[in-house]
Amino acid sequence: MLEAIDLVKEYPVRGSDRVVNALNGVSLTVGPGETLGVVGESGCGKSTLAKLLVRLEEPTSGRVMLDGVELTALTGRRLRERRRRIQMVFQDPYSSLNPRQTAGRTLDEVLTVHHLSGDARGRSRRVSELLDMVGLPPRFAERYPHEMSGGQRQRIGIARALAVEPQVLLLDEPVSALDVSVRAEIMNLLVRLRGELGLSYLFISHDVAMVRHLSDRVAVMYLGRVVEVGPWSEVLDRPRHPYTRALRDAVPVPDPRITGPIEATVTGEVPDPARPPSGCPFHPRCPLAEDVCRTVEPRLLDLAPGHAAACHVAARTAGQSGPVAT
Amino acid sequence: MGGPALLEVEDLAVAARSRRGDLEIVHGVGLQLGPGETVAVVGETGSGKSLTMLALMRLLSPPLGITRGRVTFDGRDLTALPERDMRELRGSQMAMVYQDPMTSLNPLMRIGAQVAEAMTAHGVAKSEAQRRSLELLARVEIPDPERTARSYPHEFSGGMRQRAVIAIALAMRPKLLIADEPTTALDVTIQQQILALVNELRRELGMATIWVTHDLGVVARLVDRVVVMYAGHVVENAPVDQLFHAPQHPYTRSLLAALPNPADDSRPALVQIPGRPPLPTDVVEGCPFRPRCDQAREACRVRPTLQPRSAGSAACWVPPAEWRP
Repeated sequence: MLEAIDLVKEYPVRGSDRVVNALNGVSLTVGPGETLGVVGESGCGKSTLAKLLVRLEEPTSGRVMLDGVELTALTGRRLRERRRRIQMVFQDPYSSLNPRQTAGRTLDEVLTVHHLSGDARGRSRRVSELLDMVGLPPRFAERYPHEMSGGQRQRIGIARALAVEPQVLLLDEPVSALDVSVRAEIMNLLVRLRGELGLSYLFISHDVAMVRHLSDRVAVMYLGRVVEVGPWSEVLDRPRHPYTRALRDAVPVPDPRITGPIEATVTGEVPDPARPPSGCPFHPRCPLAEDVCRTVEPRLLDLAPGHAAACHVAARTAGQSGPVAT
Repeated sequence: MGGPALLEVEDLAVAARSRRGDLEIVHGVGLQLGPGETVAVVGETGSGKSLTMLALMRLLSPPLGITRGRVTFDGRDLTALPERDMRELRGSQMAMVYQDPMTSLNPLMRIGAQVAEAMTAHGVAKSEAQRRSLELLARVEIPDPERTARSYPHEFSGGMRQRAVIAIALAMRPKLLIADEPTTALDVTIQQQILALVNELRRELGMATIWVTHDLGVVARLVDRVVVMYAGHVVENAPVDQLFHAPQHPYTRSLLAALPNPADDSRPALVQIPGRPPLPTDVVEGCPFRPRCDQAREACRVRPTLQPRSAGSAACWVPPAEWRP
């Protein structure tokens, strides 16, 4: 349904003729009603990916398809019509909502711009309906962002995305700025809406635990590449790529009965994307790195049905070098 | 623990002061820490955890101020200490690391010079301080200290800056380190590296440590005891194992249940805490958690004091044995 094909995004480096590859050939699909979790650390390209998918930015190369139509080839009215079906929910609803507008006004404006829900009375009815969908009483239409809690503001952010009846929500760290107790209610809301409206989600997060909780499939990104993708339990509970394993094992376990010293599962930091390492981008930090990893960049290969990883060692262990996964 | 406490906080209250009166934000917090002991102070936004730490370091700035209580550190009453002595104590005997390393770093000064300054400010000779600053940078695992000592903070990644701040904080081998969400802004693999590093240094130096965090998961394997704060009150104080496996306050239990369980493949709905914490301006009768509590009953209209519970204490009238499922 939503498909990214070999997306590349280069940014020029100021004061030089070099470029930074924020995305280095990323291909992903999100099926109808499916949630794809995209997890990775700073600089992995997950936010760039979101911007390209909603066409806030143009890819250097590659295509974005929605229901078989190439979004990246559309312009003008036809683009606006199609693009509406992918909506974005941001991390910080405070900075994405107009502080001088009530929630009702914000939603009404979206409906007006997109010529939805008819006249003022129709729109007002729709605003109440949207508030109800995200679990807020109608009186919230009169509230300004500063009169709401972080969780309530994020509900408005979600209602705004739903106003135009999208098929896909791009959720960019939607709970990262929220307190633990509020996080739970937004996560539960996302699960409910997905079921009720048959939505597809692209859930972008640095939080492995939340990605594990919400996703059907998970893609792990590192330095502008997808390094592993597959069903959530396969990727997170039986990872094939050493980076996925390191990422998962770095998540603190909330259990004091696990004894022994805390040890870093991966050393060093993410390399500068302007000076990526040769070969496998993870090799300078990888405990399994071999000679080949320093010279040849591994391709994303299917190691099990629907489960692919870009790792020379994992590919050899799996005893196959199957076709390139999509 | 035994022996005299290194830090004893008694009935510490913090208020925003104005001509129209005081608005109390931290309502009489108590805390005890033995030498070398590690405690976590856990709470959500607005719980007063960071204000409490700033208050005990005497770093509050107006209109915020201490309105009541005592802070005894190493036998001295900090609330009565002249500012000059307090300044001498900070950075030598007690040190603090914040979430944003740029709070503690001077953007215009080389990293090495900043580490050295942390020592010269407390009477260490310049040549000695310079030599030790290189050792410290190496100790916090900053690569190539000779060269990186000449770098400026903006040339460092977030993780490297936090390492430099840790080097500064530990330069004088303090007896107490307060780490206020030091890894919240960092990537998870870097967070793990920093937690491992601080934990190792803490043991090496026999330093008492307070970890301030909103994330219970982070501190589970780091601390001896956990203090849970809610709306400016301590609601539970317990050994870490008891806190995670037999929480004695409904708020603690809800906080734990709100985290997804990484061992549960059925991924059940997360437990929500309805409503939101009260603001300092809200008037809540009785227990501050009562409006959101699934165990609330008539008795809770009277504010509970900390009751002894198992090996810790909890500010709740209802013991877990009487909780509704």
